Amino acid sequence: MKLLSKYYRVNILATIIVVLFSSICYYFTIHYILIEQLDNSLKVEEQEVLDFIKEHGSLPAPSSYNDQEVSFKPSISNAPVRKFRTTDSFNKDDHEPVATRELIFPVNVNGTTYDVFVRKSQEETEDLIQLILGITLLIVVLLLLIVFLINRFVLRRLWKPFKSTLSQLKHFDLTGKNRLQLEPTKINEFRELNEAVTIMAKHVSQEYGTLKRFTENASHEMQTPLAIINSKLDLLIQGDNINEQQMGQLQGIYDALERLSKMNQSLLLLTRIENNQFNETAFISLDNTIKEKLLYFDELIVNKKLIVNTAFTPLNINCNRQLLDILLSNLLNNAIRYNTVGGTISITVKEDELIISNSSLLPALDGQKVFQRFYRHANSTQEGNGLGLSIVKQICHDFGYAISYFFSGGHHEFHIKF
Amino acid sequence: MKILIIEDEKALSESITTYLRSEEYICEVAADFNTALYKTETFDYDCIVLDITLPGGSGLDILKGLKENGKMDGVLIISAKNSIEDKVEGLKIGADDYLPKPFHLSELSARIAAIIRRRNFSGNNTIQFNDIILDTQAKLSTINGQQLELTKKEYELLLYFISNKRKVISKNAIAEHLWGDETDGNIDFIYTHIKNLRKKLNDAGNADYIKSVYGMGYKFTDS
Repeated sequence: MKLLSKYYRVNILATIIVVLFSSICYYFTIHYILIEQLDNSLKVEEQEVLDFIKEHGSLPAPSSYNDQEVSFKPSISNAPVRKFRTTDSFNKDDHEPVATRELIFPVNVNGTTYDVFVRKSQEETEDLIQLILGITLLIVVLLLLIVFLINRFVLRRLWKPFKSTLSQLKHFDLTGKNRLQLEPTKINEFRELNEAVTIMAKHVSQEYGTLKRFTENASHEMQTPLAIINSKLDLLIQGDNINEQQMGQLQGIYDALERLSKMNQSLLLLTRIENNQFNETAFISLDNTIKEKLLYFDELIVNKKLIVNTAFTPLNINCNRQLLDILLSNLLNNAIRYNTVGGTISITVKEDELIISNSSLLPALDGQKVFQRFYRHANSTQEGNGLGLSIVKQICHDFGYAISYFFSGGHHEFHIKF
Repeated sequence: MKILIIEDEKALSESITTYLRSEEYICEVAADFNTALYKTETFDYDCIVLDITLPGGSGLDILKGLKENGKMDGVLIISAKNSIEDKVEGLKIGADDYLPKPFHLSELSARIAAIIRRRNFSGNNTIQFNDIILDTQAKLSTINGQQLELTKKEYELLLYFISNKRKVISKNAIAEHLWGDETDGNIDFIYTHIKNLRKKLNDAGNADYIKSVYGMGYKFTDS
């Protein structure tokens, strides 16, 4: 539920309750005041009748004019009392009952007790109350309408800085591609929010930067010990009295060292790509670059007796030359390394897409994990460092290419949309 | 030939000097910025092996100093950073080559030899091993005056062998020299190239110079 609708709901409910309650109070108050007024005019009439009796010693003639009626009746009760009451009486030509206010008071004329009835129609009073209530209701409706309109248009504008902050947060990218640029606002709450968000983003970026620097420094620091081990091994194998078994062990060290060095270099490369250290771009012919790469890999291809099928449409892409080189090398290297002897590689360049497909002994890879760092298929026997495809993915991410993996008919396929 | 090794890691500079001395180079070591600056300003070397990160300053500043003083020493940068910026910067200032750490000593030695050859103004671009002569400018090889028909890779392989003559070179070092970084786990195919080169040398000449060392590497030797 939106904050705004929740607020509306509470607000409107409260308004309605308050308005209803106050309308009821209002009604009774006005009703009371008007009846009081009516009673006062009845009292004036009473005084006139009493004055008449005092003066003339007889009852005045019953009268009826202007909704006001005076009549007399000999009292039946022994102890008559003076009282006001509201009754329904019927008009002569109207069948609708009409509310009437009457004052009954006893008078004594020449030893006979009479009840005097002074009546006045309440109709005008009722009309007045209705009118007042009608106007009140109209004002309430107008008020609600105005509140609704204000909420709709003003609140929407008021919330704009919040919405803007939110949308920026959604697109916030740690690698620094989308920095936060929050709109300045005069609203305290939003300003506080923006300040908090800015501080948080700064913290997160700093932490991320620290982590990246750590990876970079760790990789750098590792290069020197690796270089030392390598050089010591190179010296060690020059010795004359090393037997075959020891040489085999040294070869094992060499191979492990090479893997470690390559892994380290790959990690460094990943960090550099993330740091956008390759920002020079140029329009490069993809098909020609692939042709050069295939020449470069010729020995590996021939060695595995692979058949390479190519279908090239000329395509120029805007990319960093070095990164494109790495991207193609990694994909082709995988296509060769995980292939079967005598297998096939198909490379297709279409107007906006590159497809590299290869046969392999490995079953389908996990499409979710294939680009993760250090992901390797359980059946994989080849010595990869598990970073090649992460690097490919990172390069694609940098240049806004979409890379996807498919498995069909025993072939692994990588599609890159430029 | 005099080589100055500017490297602060003692273990590494020791390895380098041991290897290069056995190739009859005269080696000196500078382990910090000031020593390096003093030596480069005072003496002349055929080649300087220069590490970029040094205690007391940057190797690039030493390189700048050399160029400002009009020194002709060849310079090979070795760096743990392996960043394009450093490489471009170093080569722009006037370094002859750039070798990222970690490296094989055979690779370092071959690169130093190449720098010294290129800097050799006597116009002699040939290197000789017994009856084999390589013309490094024309990239031609002859054995007993007879031209060898070698592929590009075979020529590079032969040059690499002669640059590291009488040394055991690991298969890893050979694969990396010929194919760079693209060899992950696939180094057995270098065997084909060795076999072909060996056959061509045997057909044209006499001795079998390429000795296999317990399947872990090769040695180019006449003894």
